Amino acid sequence: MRYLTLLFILAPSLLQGQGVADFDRIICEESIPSDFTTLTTHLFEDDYALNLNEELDKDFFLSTRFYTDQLLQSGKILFNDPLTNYVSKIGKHLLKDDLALYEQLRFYVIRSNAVNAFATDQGIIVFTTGLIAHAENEAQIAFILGHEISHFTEKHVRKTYVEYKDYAKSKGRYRRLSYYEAINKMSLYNKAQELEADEKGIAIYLNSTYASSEIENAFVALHYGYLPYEEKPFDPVFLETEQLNIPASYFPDTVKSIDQNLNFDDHGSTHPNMRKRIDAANPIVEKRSSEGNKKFEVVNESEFKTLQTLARFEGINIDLADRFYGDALFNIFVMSEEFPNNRFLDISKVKALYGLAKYKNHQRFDEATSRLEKVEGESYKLHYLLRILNRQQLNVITFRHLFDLQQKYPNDAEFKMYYADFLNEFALNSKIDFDKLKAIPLAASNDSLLNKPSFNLKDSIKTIELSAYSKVKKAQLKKDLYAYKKQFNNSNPETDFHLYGLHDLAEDRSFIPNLKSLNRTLVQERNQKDSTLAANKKRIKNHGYTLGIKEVMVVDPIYQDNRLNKDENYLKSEQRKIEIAETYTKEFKRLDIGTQIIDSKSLTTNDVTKYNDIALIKDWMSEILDHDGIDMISSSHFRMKEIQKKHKVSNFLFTGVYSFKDHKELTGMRFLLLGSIYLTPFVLIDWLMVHNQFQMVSFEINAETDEIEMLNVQDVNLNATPKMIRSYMYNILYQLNSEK
Amino acid sequence: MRLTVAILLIIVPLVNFAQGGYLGAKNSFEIEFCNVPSIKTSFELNHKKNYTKTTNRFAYTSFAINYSRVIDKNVEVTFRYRYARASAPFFGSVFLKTDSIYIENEPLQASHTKLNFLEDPKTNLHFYSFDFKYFRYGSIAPLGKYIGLELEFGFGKFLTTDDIYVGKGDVAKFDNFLIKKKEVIELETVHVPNDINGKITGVYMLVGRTYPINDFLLFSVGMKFPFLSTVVTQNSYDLGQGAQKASGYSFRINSTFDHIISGSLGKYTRTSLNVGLKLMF
Repeated sequence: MRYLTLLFILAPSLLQGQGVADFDRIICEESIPSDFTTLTTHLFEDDYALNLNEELDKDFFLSTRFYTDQLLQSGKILFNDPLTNYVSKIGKHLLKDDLALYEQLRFYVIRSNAVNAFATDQGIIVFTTGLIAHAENEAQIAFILGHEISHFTEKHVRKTYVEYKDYAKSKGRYRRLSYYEAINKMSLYNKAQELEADEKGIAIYLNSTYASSEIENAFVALHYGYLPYEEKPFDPVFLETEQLNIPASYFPDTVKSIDQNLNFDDHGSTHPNMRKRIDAANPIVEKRSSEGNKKFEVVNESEFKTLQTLARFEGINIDLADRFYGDALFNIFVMSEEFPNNRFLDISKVKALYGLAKYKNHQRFDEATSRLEKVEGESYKLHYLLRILNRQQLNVITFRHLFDLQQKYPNDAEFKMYYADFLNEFALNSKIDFDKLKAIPLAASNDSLLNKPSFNLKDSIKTIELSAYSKVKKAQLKKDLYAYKKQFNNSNPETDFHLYGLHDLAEDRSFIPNLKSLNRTLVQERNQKDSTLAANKKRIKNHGYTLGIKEVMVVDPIYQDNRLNKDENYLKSEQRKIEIAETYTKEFKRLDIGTQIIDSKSLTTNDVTKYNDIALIKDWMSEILDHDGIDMISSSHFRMKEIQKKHKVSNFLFTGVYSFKDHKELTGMRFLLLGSIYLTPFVLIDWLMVHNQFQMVSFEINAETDEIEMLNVQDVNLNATPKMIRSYMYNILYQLNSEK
Repeated sequence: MRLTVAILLIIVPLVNFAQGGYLGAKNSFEIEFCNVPSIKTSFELNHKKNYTKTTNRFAYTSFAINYSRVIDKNVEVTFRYRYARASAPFFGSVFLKTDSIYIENEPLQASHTKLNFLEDPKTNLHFYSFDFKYFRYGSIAPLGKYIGLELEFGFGKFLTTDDIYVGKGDVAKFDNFLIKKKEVIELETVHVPNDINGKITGVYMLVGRTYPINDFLLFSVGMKFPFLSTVVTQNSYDLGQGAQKASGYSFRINSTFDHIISGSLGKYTRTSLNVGLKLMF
């Protein structure tokens, strides 16, 4: 009883941010696994020392270990969260008879909407959130897990590497083959491995009591992973409100059918098509006697639904960050029936509509929506609508929803923030003639149109002409008459439905004047900004930035060292990355700027909060870079406020140093100079010697405004030693710190 | 010229166009060694043992103290004082001894004898320069690679005006690769005139780079190439008139020492390899 009470008290805090009702984002918990905290150089050295397979060379261990490292440090990998724990439990359940194998494996989930999973030769198995979101039940996840475990047990990664070496060098089976023959052979080899993993995976799967029928369904679920979570007919009501109705003509009569062909062309692919995989799996399933018929074993269906909902919500987050606003909107629609008043879905709807309107207003709509030719199924209706809505219509729909939702959540600052920002956007960039906004609903307008007066314009003008009014009065009357006629001729409720969408607001006499006044102010500000922009550009080019920043956080600085043959020198890269991170943390005495560093290489077991912060900052940064050129709030803006508060910093600096070596080309000028007597030795030395160069890319983003305030790309013909990098880093910080 | 340098020295430290320098340090003092690669022969007379020792060295080295100031992101200006104690005439210098031959009823004739220097007529060379370095290939002043222009004024004078020995040596005996000795077979003294000096004005091209050692020190390596230069010695102005007016004896003595001064100035302003240590502040 005591434990139950304790659980009851702790439950809300344990579920905070990871529950469906108050979902925000999936985060990692507890301690960080050793895969993230072990230095990859050590990992490589240990694994390479234990290498007994002579066919595997140093490059294999280097490339695979450091590729995995890059993945783990990307911030996209989840651990000790509900989804990862779930996958891990399924793995344990499948391997209950072989716990030694289970101990060798580590299960993670990656934030990605791709429906996929993969295994490394080190025993790391990664599932995407997209796969969990699309799987119909636990059994399907279990089968895919069995498939991935088989890749590990059969050492497919290692075998493929050996095969690929022969392929790349045209050795062994690839000798004397044409280019296309070699590709084909390599493809067949990969496909054979996939079929083998299917076969072994089925064996693992059928050891449990999962239903064998779900194997085929798992293949189908994988194939249709590009579709939304569910095929549910789109209801226009989702985008309509009491005040705003979208005419039926804006929706297509039929939706584009889903391609049913599982036997697609897999020529050159690493995986066989689904038909071949199903056909290969069925005889194996039939041969084995399995009594299993369960779809859920580790958790029940209801718990599975909750976990799947988490994955689907996270998928919406990913869509918003990747700017797939149309896809996000449809998935929000799909989920909102089950969760009608869910705050996360509501704020996501706000973000999706806000993003669509912003991209439409900045003529970059194609980046934020899918091409209609690529869309299949029920979501076609929504995508079609988004494509045919014009700028004004989309702005009114967005404004309507943002206004309504901020009214629905009166105490929620995030809704208010998006509304306040969009109000400015609406006033400045919607291109709506605010005078045309109607103060009556569309239905009332239809009635008035039905009662449209019929009169002969010519006769009416003649009557005015013959009247005894003064010339001025006659002119005024004629003008009014033309305007009256024009109003009825031009008014079309089909195309102007949006003008009625804000009728309740337009009823307030101050609404339209306020919008116009706001427009004037914003236009003035924009003009002022534009005029200073040109001068700023010149000043920045000559003397750098002057931002007056006092505190900055350096986020996970990148260092990549490339050899003369362009291959990355992984070991040196990691070593230098650590050294350079240390130089950043040293005080710059002559600057009045504080520097903090948040670095994935310095993570220890207890730094899970730091890991989550890095993951969030990286996602936020990536989205801001995509928005570059559009002044808008990112989908992670509000989450970043927590980090700002925690670290007391609003400015985040991202730096990358890419070091490489090169030979100078023997250009015509060099060739001529070689012929001269005095310069010959210099030109010769210059031509023969290896030149060290590096590129330092730095940009700073202000989390208060989501604005890239500084972007600096410096190509330097010098060796990128830590001391050299420190002096260049000083230059960046100097520009951030100095004031006009 | 002094006024120009003084004005520049006052103005330049005040110039600042929003640049960071090296970790915030825009000013520097530098100790620099300038080496002109060449074969140099130094003479030293040993009276007791009656031989003169000639030593071969491979560089004309001068010592410089610089003050530099970063004035823009890629620009550094430097004031340099360079000093060299030139301890030798250059290879092949000869002193022409001229004797008058008097024969009755015949015009006065002169006989010339070539005598070598048996010890060095030492000279002091002072150079003042102003250079402008532009840091390129992505370098930020004062770190990285640069090209530049230097304007230099040099001044040379004999260090001592005592007599020095000239004469003739026997066949050289080698001690080693660097040192050889010659037995003196003829010895004369010559007075070094105290009124001979030379001036050089030159424009040079600079190429080089600097490396960071720590937060305060930079190591610099560079090359200096002469571009345009002109040497003026005291007597070279009246070369034609002097030939007519002065006696052959005095003219020839002076022109030899002129030659030494101008030669020394010339040697120390040839293509040089400079290494230095910069203290940033």
